[in-house]
Amino acid sequence: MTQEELAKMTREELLSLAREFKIKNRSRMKKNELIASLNLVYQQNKTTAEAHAKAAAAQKPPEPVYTTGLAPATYPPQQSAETRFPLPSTYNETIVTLLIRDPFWLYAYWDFSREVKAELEKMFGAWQRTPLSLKVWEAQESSGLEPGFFNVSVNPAAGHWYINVQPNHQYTVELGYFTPSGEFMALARSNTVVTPRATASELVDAEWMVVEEDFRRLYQLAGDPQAGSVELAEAFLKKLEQEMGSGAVTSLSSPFGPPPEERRFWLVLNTELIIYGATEPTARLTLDGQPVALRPDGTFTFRMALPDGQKRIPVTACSQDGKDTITITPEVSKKTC
Amino acid sequence: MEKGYLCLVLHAHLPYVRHPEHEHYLEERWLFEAITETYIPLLKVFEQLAEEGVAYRITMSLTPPLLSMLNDRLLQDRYLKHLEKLIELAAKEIERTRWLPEFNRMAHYYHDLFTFSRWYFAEKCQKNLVTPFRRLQDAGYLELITSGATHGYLPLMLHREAVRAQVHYAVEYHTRCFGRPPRGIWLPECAYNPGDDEILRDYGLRYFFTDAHGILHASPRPKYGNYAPVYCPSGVAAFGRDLESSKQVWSAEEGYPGDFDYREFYRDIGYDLEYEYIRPYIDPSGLRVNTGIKYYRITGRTHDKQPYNPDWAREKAAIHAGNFMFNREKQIEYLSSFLDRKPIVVSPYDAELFGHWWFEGPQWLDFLIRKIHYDQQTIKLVTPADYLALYPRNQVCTPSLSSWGYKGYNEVWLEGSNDWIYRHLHQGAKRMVELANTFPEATGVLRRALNQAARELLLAQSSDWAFIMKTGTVVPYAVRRTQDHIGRLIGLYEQIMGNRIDEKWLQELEAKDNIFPDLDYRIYSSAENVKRKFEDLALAL
Repeated sequence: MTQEELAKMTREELLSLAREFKIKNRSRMKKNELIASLNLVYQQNKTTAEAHAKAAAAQKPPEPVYTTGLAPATYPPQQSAETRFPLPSTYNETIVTLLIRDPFWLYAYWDFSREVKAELEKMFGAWQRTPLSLKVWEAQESSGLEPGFFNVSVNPAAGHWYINVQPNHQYTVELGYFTPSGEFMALARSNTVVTPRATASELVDAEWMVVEEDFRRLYQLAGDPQAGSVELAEAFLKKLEQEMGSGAVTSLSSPFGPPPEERRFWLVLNTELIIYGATEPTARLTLDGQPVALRPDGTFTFRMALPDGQKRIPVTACSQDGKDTITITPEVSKKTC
Repeated sequence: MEKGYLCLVLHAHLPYVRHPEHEHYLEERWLFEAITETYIPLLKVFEQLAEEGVAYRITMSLTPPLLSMLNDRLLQDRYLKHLEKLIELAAKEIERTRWLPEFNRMAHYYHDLFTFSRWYFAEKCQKNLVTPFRRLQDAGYLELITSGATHGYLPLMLHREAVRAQVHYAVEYHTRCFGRPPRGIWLPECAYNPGDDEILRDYGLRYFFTDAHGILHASPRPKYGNYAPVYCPSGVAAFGRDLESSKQVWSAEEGYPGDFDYREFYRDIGYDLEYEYIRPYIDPSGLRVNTGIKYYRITGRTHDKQPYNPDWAREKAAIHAGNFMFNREKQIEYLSSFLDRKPIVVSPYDAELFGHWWFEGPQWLDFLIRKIHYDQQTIKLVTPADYLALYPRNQVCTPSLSSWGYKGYNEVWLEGSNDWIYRHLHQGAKRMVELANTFPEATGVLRRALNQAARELLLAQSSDWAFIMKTGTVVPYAVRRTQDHIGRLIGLYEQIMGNRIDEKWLQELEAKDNIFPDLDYRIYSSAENVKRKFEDLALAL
């Protein structure tokens, strides 16, 4: 969007754009201010709009995308004037990596090397058509049970996937595909992670024995004091959803957020009074008894908020040698009906 | 004799934002606003209390990026220029509001505040705000601790070397700034990943903090819940955040900062006043921004804001400090009724909440410290190190993975808007480790290129970028910073491995991304001897 294009838009159209970019105090801006603000946003990053769209797209499960390039669809824009080395869309290695989001979700991302992609092309016509699957190995921590697994079929071009899991379990995934005969062929194996527990540990320390009742009290101090033992864990998880700090004010972005916009239509009106003039550059000038600084050319400007009422404003200029004095006294009255 | 302890922790952090390539850079204002509204007011409170003989102990983390910016000449000079403009604007405001007595009083107040800030910054501190913090540490009032080297989000790092480098350089830089190694660390975003404590132990760190559930969900069950530390198997102590006291300050609905008499953050003359008048004081592009001059109080859930009254606000700050203390006394009395030791209540806050968001925050803190000192016997202010000295024997547990972000785990930093960054960050870390292992003893230009690569990786790892992408405030800036630093790192990697370092470009990067001039890329080496080298350094200091 160029400045010219912005200039052609109506204020309403500009406003709705400004809303999209969360420009503060947009509803109070004049058209030229809106254009200036929007122009700055566009200048700062010409690909903002795409970033927004892609971020939104990334929230949903990815749609099958069969693009010509190798770039997975969910990557944000890579354009930046100063960067001599844009972010690559692939690092040319076949890997899968697991990260923990919370006790119930893992995040997996993957990438393919050129050779593997070529192989997949040979087998399935296009690598994006590979019946790709994540084989998720799951083991309960220190249970001694054999690990089990489940498969999640994924879109190869998506590049990443969120996997629903259980708290306090150990996970590893294998990235692979199913052959036409139904056999799983692994391409890469991930790191191993352990999801955090979502409740208090069952394990009690003999030396630091704690009475059930006392532990519940301690737990209640953090969760909901009203909750009974059954709802305790649930209440606690809910508690974590309250915004209490963090996320850090680090960016100096708001921890509280601005007040909700409750009204759609409104008007603010203020009046200010500007008194300006000129005298000999060497003169001394007072306004209502207060000295006023002159510019080098002898001009001056004085600006005041003008509330309702009657005002007399004597302005006096006095020559450098003190021999000549001129006073001009405007009188203003303002009434808001 | 006291029945329990209160541990106030202020976490001060800003991402490294410094753009020599432009004269005015919107995001540099974050630092300038924080200096005027938070750091100087807090220092003023701490120094005044010390001068009056009020005893207190406060724990404060100052992150390496923040310290680097406070130490940076360019930013120091830019801050002074910024202040000059504000003083000029405040002087105009005194004239403009002469017929509006309620506003005029505040215009004078801001003029005084900015003029004081200029004196404090330029004259008293000789432009360096690290010095007064160090003085308060040496005098025994503040316990200064560190954080990640660039506030990297540790649980989402894949390479142990990357986590270790964040801790290593943080401890090193902190020691340089304050003359003694930190005893504790505020893990970036309070995010703990089981096992990371072993790295902390290697660097002499004795304690860190987790959110409430980090301790409550520790295994085995912690006998004292959040009201005593536990030792990780590594021997490093973990202190859990108390949610009750956190809520009183943090909560948007129930917290003190939302009181109707307090100053409204969202009404700033940068947005309110006539465009041509305010134009010289906003962004040079013409974009309206906050100036810091605000005349209204919160008033209520309305757009019709009433003028701010500093006397009422001060009164409220005193009442709220009294309320906070009363609640802690009750809490500690209740806890001591069934615990067989004196409990510690840990209340951590972002430092920038005080003054910047909650304008009266520093005043509240002032009242609170005074009241604790003069008006009661139940609680005493301590730091984690003080408590560990009182109670050196603690239960051994493994805390649970946790953070203080929304929902308590990693989701804020790993969700639809920002999950794309991790494959690049991991790749960057992998290549950095490879570089460090390939060139164990580089010299000359090669060494400079390796050091710069390490800087680029550290800068890309700031948790702030992912956080901004999530909150949607200045997304393009955060996206660009991530792309730039990773892009530069990959570029350097290719040049180094291809033996064709572009020295001119390297020089440009050294000038632009100049954080940590003393950084040694070998902190990324996989070899175990990194730790030993660090110990040599500690001895040398």
